[in-house]
Amino acid sequence: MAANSLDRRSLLARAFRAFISIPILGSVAALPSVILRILKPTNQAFNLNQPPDQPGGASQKVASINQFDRDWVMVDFTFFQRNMEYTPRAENVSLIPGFAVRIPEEVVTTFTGAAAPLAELVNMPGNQNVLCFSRICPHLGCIFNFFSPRDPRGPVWEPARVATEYGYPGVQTDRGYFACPCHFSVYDLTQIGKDQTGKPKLGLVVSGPAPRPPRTLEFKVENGELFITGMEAGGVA
Amino acid sequence: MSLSGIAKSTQDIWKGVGTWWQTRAEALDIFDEYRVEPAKSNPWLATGALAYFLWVLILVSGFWLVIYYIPTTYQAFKSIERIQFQLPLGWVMRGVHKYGADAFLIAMIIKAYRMYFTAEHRRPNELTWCLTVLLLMFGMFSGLTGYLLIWNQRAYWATKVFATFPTYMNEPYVPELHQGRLIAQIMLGGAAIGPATITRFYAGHYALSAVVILLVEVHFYRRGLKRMNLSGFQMFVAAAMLILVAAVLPAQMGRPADPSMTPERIYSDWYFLGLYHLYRIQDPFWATIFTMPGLPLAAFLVAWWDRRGSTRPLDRPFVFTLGITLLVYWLGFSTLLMNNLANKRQDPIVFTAVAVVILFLGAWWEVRHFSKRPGEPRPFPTMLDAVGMMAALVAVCYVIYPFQMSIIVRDASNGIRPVGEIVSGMIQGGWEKLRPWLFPITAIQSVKIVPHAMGALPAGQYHSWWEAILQNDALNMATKFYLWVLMAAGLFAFSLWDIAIWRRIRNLPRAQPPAEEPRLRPHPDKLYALYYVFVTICLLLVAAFGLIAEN
Repeated sequence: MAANSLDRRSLLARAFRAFISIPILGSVAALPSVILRILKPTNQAFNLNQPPDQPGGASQKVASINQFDRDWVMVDFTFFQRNMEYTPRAENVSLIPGFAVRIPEEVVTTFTGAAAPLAELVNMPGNQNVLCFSRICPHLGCIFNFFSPRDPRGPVWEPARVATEYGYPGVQTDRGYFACPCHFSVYDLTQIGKDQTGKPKLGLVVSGPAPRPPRTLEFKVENGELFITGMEAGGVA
Repeated sequence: MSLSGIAKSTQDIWKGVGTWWQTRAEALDIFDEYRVEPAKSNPWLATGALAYFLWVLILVSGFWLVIYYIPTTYQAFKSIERIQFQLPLGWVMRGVHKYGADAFLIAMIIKAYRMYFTAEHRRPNELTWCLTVLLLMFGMFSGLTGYLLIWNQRAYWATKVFATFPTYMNEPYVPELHQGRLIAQIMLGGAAIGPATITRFYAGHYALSAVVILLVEVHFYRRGLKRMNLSGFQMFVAAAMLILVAAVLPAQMGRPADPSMTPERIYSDWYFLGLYHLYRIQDPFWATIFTMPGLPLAAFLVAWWDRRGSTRPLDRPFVFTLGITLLVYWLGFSTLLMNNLANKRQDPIVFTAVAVVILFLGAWWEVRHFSKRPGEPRPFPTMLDAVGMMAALVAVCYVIYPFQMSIIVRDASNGIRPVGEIVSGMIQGGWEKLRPWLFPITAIQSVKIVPHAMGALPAGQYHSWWEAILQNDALNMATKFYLWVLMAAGLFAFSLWDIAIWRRIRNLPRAQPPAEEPRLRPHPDKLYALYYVFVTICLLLVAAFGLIAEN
């Protein structure tokens, strides 16, 4: 019995030590979080549950909506994205190259299986089927090119080139494609894939290692002008 | 078990951990500091010492570079231009720093392979092995952080590629933690590569190296060890090697970074090329898992699972085969990427099939090597071994197959399992679904062979059947699966054939091995000369790759 009571006493002592160790362990566990806050520039330094900062940018005019008078017209632009940094200027401006493309009404659907209304996918203003894409490839961040039928830039940018140089034999010459020169990912702009959260999204990856359709830029139309207002989350600029 | 019993066994565990740590720490031999005697006749055993000497050279030249280098996006490139072309002997300092780092990595890679092939990682050297792998990774990390400081096109885009890897870690685990993007943002100091990134990488590059070498110095001091097991002449040769390479192939500058234009080709540093090639042909998420926690963990574990047989490489058949395969694949992938020969459609299937066959043969060799038990005349392997290996192979193929399909054919990326497809086809009664699995050959007809056409052909047309099959368009998934099965059957047949041969020869009288003549070793000085020539050639190759990559 004596041994038992001794055991019980030592057990109580251990339990007490375990009890007082909770706040100490808690503080130790909280320390990495504080260090991470210092290492990662953030707008709300003490909000521990805050997701990574989403860089923003001023509303920026990139095109006139009258330019998109027929399908597959493309306007390329550079969006100046601002993100916070712990540097003397407190922010960094990164250049996000982008494409604004007018998509034809008849979109081939593969992800949903049913013909989804295009309007839901591209969130376009008015009747213009224009969609703005970031040119940064969601695979590893290179900058992809646009190939489309009837491109005014000439035969260099014809879709047939996607078959010969980007290794995707299934090219159809009446569709538009994004194709990345680094690892040869090819996006079909008439087919629907799904993004990271599983939502349907235009630009199915038909070839190459890219995991999801290209990221889109948020935009609005005011007085017939196209303004870029922000960018979809994720990735590195 | 009572509470006191639990407490006691916990104490025993801690005691065991303590003993383990003590014995391993005593056996610690990171830079071959305990191999002074054997290294006199074997230059490979002085590799660690060479690596340490190179590290010191890198630090010295690095301190000199720090004086003139300016870590801002606007002035970094210009300051390095000034160091390279205007400062007296600047090119020597920069060359010694850059090529010294390359030579350090070459030496560490040689040392890691030496430890692997000669089983130096066995008990009690597990800790030495893990630290060697860690130091190699640390060297790679220093190379990566140091590379961005030049702020040229290649550095910028390679860093972007590198910084995008962790974002794939967002998908598994707890999505609310945003772990992938957090890692990327902490690494870059923001959401993009900018001024904060360059100071961050500068600090990491500088501080990490200095801190780690301090720890190593403390280790040497506490043991009272000689730091470098190199003669003065050898140090001179190593330093001269770096200066020579820096003079013959000056360290390249490239063009200043332009965030709005991707260069034609992006090259990582030479030691990452093989992994980078993996990224080109694999699904990025699995490539990330495979590269970052996967590969180093597997390397650590080698020390624990490779315990059978003597330390001779040929007495450890599977480990030997695996090591050779990895070495050849690493060099092969690097060569393919350097020459831009990668073909994302045919590479994964061919490389996986070749690796599976080679590793199967290695495992078979292992079975045969260790299946003769003492006091038992009957030579194995038996039929049971063959069946077991066959089952393992089929299981491996069954796992690999959907992966391969998901990489190559995006539309079919839903993880198709052949047997599942067949069963669901039967249940749903869909003939169209079932037919290709029953008659896989029917899918071949859609390909048109145009043997005499020049240049690239339109979709569905090929110069030969071989090309069509390699491009993954001639065969449907069922056919490809059956080809995998055929390959497995071929290996099974090989095993049976091997068993038959062993059955036939087991009763033959054993030939007496000829008396071994003592092997004459060449003079150690000549060996050392050859060794330094080898390292210099490696370094020249690496430097020549810099010429390709920057221009």
